[in-house]
Amino acid sequence: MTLELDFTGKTILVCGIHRGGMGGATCRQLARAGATVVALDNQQEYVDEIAEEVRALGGTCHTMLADLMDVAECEKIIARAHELAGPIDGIANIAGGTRGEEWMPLEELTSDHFWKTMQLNFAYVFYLCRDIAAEWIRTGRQGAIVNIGSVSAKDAAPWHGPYGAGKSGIIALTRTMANEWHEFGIRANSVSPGAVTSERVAAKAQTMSQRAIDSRDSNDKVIFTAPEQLANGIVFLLSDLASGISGQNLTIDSSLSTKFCAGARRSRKEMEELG
Amino acid sequence: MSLAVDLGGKTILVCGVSKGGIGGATCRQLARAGATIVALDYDKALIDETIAEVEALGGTAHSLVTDLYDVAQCEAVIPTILERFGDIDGIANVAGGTRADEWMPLDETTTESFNKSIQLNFAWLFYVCRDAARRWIDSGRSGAIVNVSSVSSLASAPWHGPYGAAKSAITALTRTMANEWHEFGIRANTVLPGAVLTERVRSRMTPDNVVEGSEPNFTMPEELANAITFLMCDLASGISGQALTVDRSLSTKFCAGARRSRKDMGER
Repeated sequence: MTLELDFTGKTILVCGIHRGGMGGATCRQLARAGATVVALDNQQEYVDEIAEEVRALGGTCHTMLADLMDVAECEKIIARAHELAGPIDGIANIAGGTRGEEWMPLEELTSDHFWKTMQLNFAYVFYLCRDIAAEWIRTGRQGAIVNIGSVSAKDAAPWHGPYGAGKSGIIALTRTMANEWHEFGIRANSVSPGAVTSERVAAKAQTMSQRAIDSRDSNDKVIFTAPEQLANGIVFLLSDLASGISGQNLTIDSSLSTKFCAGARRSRKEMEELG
Repeated sequence: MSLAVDLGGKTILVCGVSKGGIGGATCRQLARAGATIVALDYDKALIDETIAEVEALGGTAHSLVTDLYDVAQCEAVIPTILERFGDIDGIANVAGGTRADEWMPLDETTTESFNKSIQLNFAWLFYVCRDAARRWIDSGRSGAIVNVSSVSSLASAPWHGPYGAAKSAITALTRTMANEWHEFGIRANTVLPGAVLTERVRSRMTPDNVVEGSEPNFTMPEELANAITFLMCDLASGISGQALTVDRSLSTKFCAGARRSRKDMGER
């Protein structure tokens, strides 16, 4: 007996597909579950790498290049994806993240930085979801949307405030998508990662100022989650097993965000080590 | 190619297994995923119905009769299971619900009724989770817990306030379970059903204060069961301390003025 995540005959658009992160892991898990993947990113090298990985798993992968910082390009993506791969059944909007150079206190942040962060971590998600939902409503097709929030949207986001606010915006807008589009058979959820061990997160540390690196309390322990663990949650929410789930924000952070705010606690294993 | 929700070789305790509800559906989906079930409820006949369904699917289920209102019986659950069936790998705590006679304003609710609601919808879960976790910690075994809360815990719970408060407490305590037991490889999550079309709900009288025409979009017991089964399996290894609402978007309802859908407006 088995219970399967089954995407046979379905096509899923994944925006942000770097092989070393959540997007790449999502493409691989979707391929394992039988989906046709449309992989979108801003560099030829990235999409070629993931296409090769998906094909090595026996899957089908179409590739698309687009700059999500460019509104005009964003507005063409859904039409281009249809031209390339036919009707789409689901979309995972994974692209986003803080840029190393924007880690600084709110009062030092330029308006330009703020708007760039909003475009990459909020606005593009609206354009893509709007356009794909309009197509689904027009054609009477059902669809599933998974957007990426963040634990930075939960409480404060020190030195990356606009990012946290943008991600909060995604989570809030996704609830409204679920509410307005429920009657058309469209589901929309967000997934909020905690600290993820992706290649790009590791690379970003190189572009942060020494001051930003020093601002982090090295005594505070962080629990990391692997990109594949995020991908499994994303793929579940895109699948029919999640037919009852819409309008939700599922945090996948190995319990990181359950941290008690009023005084750090040692784990019992740490206390044993201390003797 | 496939991606399977695989619980082969694992034993899962399901507390509350009524065939027509979330618990029964959970037993069936867990069995489909390959798990052995320990089916707990207060009525032997009710357990046997669900066990028959699990066996019809080719699965295995053991029976454990327990009255969850009785603290001593709650404390015997884990020791009895260890003695009769051996170690378990996960628990789905589904039992609970409002009692027909508790739907009334807070100011009319008796102390006894309040206490009963808290025992049935909160306290017993603590006893069972505590005892299972202690065994997992002592034996170095990892485990997964899924507790069932409710959308009645999110805002208010008119005429069923104690139930809503108890369900809020489940979500809060489950976060602490996830936090304290993370280092021992134990995951704990909550699932929040909205309006679920169980047999019990189908046959229930509607309370007088429900506004006519405001009937919710119902979620099916199987949809809850799918989420519970997913959270139990290793595909959810990164998920702990979370509350996942499974309600077909019901709880996204806007509070400040109900809105008509476009289909109601005749646009589509």
